[in-house]
Amino acid sequence: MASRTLSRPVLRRRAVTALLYAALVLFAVWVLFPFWFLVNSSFMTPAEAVAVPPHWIPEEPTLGNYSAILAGQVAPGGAQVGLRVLTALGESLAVGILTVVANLALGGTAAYSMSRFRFRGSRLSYFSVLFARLVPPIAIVAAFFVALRDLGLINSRYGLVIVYTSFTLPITILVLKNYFDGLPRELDEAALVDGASRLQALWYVIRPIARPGFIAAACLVFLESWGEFFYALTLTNQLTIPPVLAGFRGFFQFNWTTLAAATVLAVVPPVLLALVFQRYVVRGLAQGVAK
Amino acid sequence: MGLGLSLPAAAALLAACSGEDPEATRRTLRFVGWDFLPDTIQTHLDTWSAVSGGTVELEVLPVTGYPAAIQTRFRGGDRPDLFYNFTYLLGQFLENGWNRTLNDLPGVEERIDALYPGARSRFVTADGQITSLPYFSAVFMNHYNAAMVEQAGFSGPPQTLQEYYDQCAKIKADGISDAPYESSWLNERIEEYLMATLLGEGITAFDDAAQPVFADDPRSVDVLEWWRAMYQDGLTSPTILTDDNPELIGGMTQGTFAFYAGHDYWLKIFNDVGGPAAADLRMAPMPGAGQTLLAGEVVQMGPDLEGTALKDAWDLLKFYTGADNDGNFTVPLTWVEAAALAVPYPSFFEDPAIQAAYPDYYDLGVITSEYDRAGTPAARALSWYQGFQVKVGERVNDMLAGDATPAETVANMADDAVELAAG
Repeated sequence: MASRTLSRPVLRRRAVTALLYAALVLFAVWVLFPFWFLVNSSFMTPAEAVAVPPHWIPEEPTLGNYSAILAGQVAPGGAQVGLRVLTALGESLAVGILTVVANLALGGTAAYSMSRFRFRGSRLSYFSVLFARLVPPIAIVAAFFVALRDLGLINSRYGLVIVYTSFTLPITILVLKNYFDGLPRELDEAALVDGASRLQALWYVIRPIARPGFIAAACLVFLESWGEFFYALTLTNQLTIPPVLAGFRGFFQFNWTTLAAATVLAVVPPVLLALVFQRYVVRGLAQGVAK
Repeated sequence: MGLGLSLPAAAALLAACSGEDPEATRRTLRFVGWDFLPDTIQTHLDTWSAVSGGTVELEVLPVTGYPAAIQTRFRGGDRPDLFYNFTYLLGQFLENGWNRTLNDLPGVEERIDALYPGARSRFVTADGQITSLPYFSAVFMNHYNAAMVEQAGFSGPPQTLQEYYDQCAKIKADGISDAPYESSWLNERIEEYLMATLLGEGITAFDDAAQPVFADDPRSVDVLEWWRAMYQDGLTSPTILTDDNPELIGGMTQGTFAFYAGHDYWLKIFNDVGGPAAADLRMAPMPGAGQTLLAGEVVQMGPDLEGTALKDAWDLLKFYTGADNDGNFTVPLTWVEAAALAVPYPSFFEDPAIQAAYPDYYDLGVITSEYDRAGTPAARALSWYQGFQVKVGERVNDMLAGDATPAETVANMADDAVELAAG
């Protein structure tokens, strides 16, 4: 059998491909290693979690950390977990969904008007909205606290929704305005000619076409709401999951394994969200960038 | 021991005399604490409610972020009735009017007089304002691996800083441990180690006017020389400046380190976590014949209390921070059982129920003798002191990195303190 020799360009292309894959594998390990460490720890006892050298696979795996969280038992290490992790997960879900709904309703109409109407100060108005993202959260938390206290919304999911909506709106507006800018104006105009109002044109004509943009904005807003710690810490009494997770880092107890199990449960919703909607998110964001 | 008055009864009596109906002015109290055994906190509040007839709502925040959250809430006008607080925030809260001083409350002097003398300055300012009562207290102890110390040929743990250095050097030279000494030298905790070591050497850190007199004592430089030698001669964990709880717990329970200087409750943590070296761990007094550093956090009263709410809050504060009206340390007993936390009253350690609650591996004789010599500079509760703690972390880090000599570091820290105190 005659041996096949590969040309130099082919060899070079294969070498580049191999290098790219090697880099990707390295990157994947870099990204996934902490997650592996987390999952691994969640099946350990506190003693095994601090073993030297570290155990990369639990030698005596335990479900104690998960059963403590799911059944409200005292965790290995003594943390009184109760059912607050599950309750907080539910609250985080509710806050995230309500924040997304509020964002899409307010941000969608705002982005549509910013995309379609030019008026004196329209650019200033757009940049003002984006500027709100630059304000450090700690600088305005006291103002939010006073407002929510006066409204009787401290330690309330609705209070958090108001706050989260106020600082996630710029993301929604940015993503959706860019998306709407990429859609031909003739579509709206045809609807208007047919007798639709602006809102009807947005709802019946633009919204179905802009679905990837809406989904991308919704995902970004949900993820930001899900992981937000500082406002949840200050404005609520461990209502949502981030401050509950922080509570496992105690003064006098070693709760790292319970924290690991609770964190694994807490990352399930955002990971599922990312997996299910990733192509929409990419398309939604790419549309804005490509414009 | 019966330190408390029966305030509900007294309130009822007063109300009867004045014609006021206590139930009419009673309201639900708000109690803010951090996330350590929240179910137990709730049980205590329920117990108090059942006995007193008052009502109280619990709000729990995580320890991580508690200072930021509680200060933001106060800044935003929130005024809880009772709240946990860190002692380093006491001065700031007092200046801002965010807590109620306790001086006019019945029986408070008896409570303060019942404290260990060295604990008084944690709760009473230099001008006599009583700011708080103890949530828990702890003393600095030297935790050590008895098997390692014995293997290196020593009959017991070190009594002086020089012995500390020598034992670490021998343990390392004999190959028993590559990193004999571990502590929490994170930036924000270094000041605590500085104070513990200065006090141990009998050095007065701050005078009654909160002036940094440690710079006038040449032994302060010796303390920092020891500190630098331990680090630069490789006797500490190589990552001691960044090691946090998992590293130190793992290192002690797994037999990586021979010594850990820290609060006395750590021995229970080590034993609860367990590990091959856990059974070899003991605690001994910190080296030095001077004082040991008293640590711990506090419970305070909010400023907006009056009438029956004030009486209820005071009754609850006493119940929560010491002996109840029947003389039992009901609440502190549960903290001992859970985490070996104390309250700084001699009568606490004399209580048979408390003695029985401590694990067998605790030598209460050693702990109480440490409480007898425990103290803390009053300056540590002043509002400017937080800034000093940050500066000390930076200065000591610079010294360990070789960017400053111990003498320069002492002088710089003293200048920092004077500057910060002057505002």
